[in-house]
Amino acid sequence: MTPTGHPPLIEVHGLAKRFAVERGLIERLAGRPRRQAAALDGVSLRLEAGETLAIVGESGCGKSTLARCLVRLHSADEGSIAYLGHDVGLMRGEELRDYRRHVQMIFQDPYSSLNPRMTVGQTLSEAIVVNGLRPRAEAPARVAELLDLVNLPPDAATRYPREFSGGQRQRIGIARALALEPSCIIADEILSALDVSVQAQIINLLISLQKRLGLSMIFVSHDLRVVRFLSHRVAVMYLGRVVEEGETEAVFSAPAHPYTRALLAAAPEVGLSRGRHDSAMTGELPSPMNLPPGCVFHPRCPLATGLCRTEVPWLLGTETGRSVACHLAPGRAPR
Amino acid sequence: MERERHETPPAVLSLRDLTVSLPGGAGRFDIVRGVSLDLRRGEILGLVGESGSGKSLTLKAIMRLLPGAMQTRGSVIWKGQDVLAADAGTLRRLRGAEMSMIFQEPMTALNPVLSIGRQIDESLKAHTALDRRARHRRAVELLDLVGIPSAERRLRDYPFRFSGGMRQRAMIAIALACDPQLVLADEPTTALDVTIQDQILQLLLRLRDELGLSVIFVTHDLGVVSEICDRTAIMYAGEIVETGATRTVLSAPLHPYTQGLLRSMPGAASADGRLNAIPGQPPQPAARAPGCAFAPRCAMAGPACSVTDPVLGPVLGSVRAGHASACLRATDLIAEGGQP
Repeated sequence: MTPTGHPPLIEVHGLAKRFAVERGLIERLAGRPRRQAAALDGVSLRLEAGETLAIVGESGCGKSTLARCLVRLHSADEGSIAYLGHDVGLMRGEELRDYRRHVQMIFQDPYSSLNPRMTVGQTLSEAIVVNGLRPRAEAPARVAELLDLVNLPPDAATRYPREFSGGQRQRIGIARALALEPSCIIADEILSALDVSVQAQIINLLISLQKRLGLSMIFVSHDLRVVRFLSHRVAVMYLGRVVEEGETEAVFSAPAHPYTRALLAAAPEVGLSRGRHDSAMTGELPSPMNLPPGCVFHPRCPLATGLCRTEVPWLLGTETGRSVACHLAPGRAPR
Repeated sequence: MERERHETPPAVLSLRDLTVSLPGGAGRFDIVRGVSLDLRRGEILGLVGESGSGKSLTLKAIMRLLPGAMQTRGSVIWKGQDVLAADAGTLRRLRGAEMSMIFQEPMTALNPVLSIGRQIDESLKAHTALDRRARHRRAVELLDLVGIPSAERRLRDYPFRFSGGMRQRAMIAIALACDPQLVLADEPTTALDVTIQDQILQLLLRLRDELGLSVIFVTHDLGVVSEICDRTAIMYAGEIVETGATRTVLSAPLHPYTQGLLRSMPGAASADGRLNAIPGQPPQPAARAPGCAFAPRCAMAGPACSVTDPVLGPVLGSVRAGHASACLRATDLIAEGGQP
């Protein structure tokens, strides 16, 4: 609950998701146990109405799994997702349909998420009519409205996805999501396939849509520049856990978790040549099938102590509204 | 690090009016148009542009890796010899031994059914007179050089056993097997995470310093360019529109397209909290209007811009040596301070 007493738009609590890993023939014959890869391991997050929450992290950190769990493309193994205080896992029938309409996902590759044999107009009006948002006769007018909203020409309705460039296709993907009049958009790496100049057009579109329609947004991305520009709050994930969460500008200007610091230091910046021969972080991501004990970041952490190797640091809030999962974060009781 | 070198050693690689064309419609149309470049020993040159700007094609044209339907004109002079005129035997000797390529996606560039050791060995066998044992020693040495731990054991592993970053290291090891002097890198870090990208960039810098490599680094990321490139050439619609020392090009650009790219990066927002996106899209190569290719998207374009094709050259009034721009109004940009 927020101080005002309203439940947050989306509240995730202790979410865990594991995937079974296929065993090879020899492993099965040898009777080795099934292995599991932990994609999400106790993730808790909150999204307020009208805000943009960014989820950042390297590939394999679980950010896309989290996005997919939120729209119930995956079902979680543990934990809960609440929408306006109602547990999404318990929703059935009408209530679930309502949730699915209100929380819309936009995918990374608009081309593979659009039906190539339907015109843009058909794709959009199908979503409108099936969900009973408008009678069929009024659909074309709504389609024109949607195309205008994402700055596509009206004649786009009669064309097929293949006739559009990457940036325009992403606009179609956004229009498709908006067709359902959602209250929350989950955007999974929607800019990563686009060129910088086109990317900027889409970012501007997202910002103006958020202002006009009061949308909330969960913005999954690995691009730190975009995240800093676009989001109000940011959650940094590492190996299925949230390691730091807080106001975007505060996190970027004073990162508290060693992983956040390393991630920010590794991002190349224009006009900032380091000219040194050491990398910000050594080593690679450990295997999600065999997570290190204690803090998952300790094998790569320059500051790791004995405590970090044995005990999992909880994500704890500090006075400044920041949450950090690190034993060494300032403000933690010394043990 | 000193990026702008005072002495200018002679170029090891010179491209002159390199043009690549495709058949289509009524005749042929050019997808790379008159690219001229010089690369010096031990230099990393960034070739920057958006998708379809011709940067990868330029790279492939240097090694003559383009499909037969694409015609290449102009010249690629490598140590006094024109690569475009070289016969098959010379080409075979050049590729791998003197120049080599690092591709964007190591998983598709590596052979999935051969161990990494075999793939390094292939190149050594073709280009050196080393015996089996010496080749093995060299392969171990190479994996060590690119920072792959327990090299001896990893040689027997197949590409799928390597993580993305390790695969890219393995590919760099293969590229370096026969001590090439020129490395052509085609977006080698685009598919990698930032922390791994950082490691690979540092590796390339170290190898350049230790081995004196000359590198052409194709990328679309101006941040990456800023980190590792000594000089930068910006490409738009198949042409180089601006070139110069990286610091100069990025801090005082003299082409509206370069300025637009810098402005459209998040972090350079205007006062109203919006990004300054470049309106419109790059032209299709088959449907190019006369005049400057960027004119339809350019806020500064005047009537002359849609008539006269600008030539890449030094800008009157620019104090920086080697800074060239292909813009009719470049001098006006200096007057504005050349700031992005």
